[in-house]
Amino acid sequence: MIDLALFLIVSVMGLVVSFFVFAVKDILHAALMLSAVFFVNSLFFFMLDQPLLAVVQLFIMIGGITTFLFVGVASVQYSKFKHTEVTGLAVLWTIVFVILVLPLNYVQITPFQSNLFGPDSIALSLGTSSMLFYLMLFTMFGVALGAILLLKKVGADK
Amino acid sequence: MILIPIEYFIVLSFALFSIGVVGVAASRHFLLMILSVEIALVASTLLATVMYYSVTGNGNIMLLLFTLWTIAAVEAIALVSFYRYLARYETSLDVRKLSRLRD
Repeated sequence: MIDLALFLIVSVMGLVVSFFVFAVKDILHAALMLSAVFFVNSLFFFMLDQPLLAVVQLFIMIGGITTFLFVGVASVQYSKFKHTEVTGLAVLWTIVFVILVLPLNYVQITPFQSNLFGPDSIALSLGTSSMLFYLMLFTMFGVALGAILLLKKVGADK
Repeated sequence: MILIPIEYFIVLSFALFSIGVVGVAASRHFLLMILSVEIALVASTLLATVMYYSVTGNGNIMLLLFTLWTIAAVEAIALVSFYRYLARYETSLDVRKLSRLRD
């Protein structure tokens, strides 16, 4: 039961931060929200009992999102207009999501072994791998983000 | 023993993918459109992992995922190159104005 609850919580978190990519005012915070999307995605890989993929996902977070943040910081002066129509985005998202999901009702997914992932996969993968790689990489990512924000603050003071 | 059905992951990846697709359609900012494509790529990796695991029974999907991640990295590099071009000529990042660059 706790597996399913964790999955639902992380899913809702992922969808909310995905919407916030378009709802925030400036591009720097949008890039920060995208980093949260990547982080949630790496949590999903943990739930799928794939800790290596989760770690590589964090590496991509560190490299790619740092690039996006630098570009976002540099392009603040070009962001003086309304970026996204959030209401239109929500309506369009509902339509596209329904169109994508409706055919699933008429499709029978026949997996190789079973229709389910391994027992207690979240607890096992978190217990064995998180202390070794995941937290260390997350710390590196946090330090990189802090360095960028500090650079931005120092640059703003000048 | 509580397990997570595979359909939940598929629906979730569809939801993330549709956010990315709609983000491209509803945004005017050039960088936000790139971020939307990144969200769609994230959803694609999740769906690819789930479906590969479901079909083959093992999780050895590194080759396909590295292909997807390479696409994402190349996209970031292209973004930086194009941004340098725009910054040199001090062009706005509003795609409605970018569409008139050829005039």
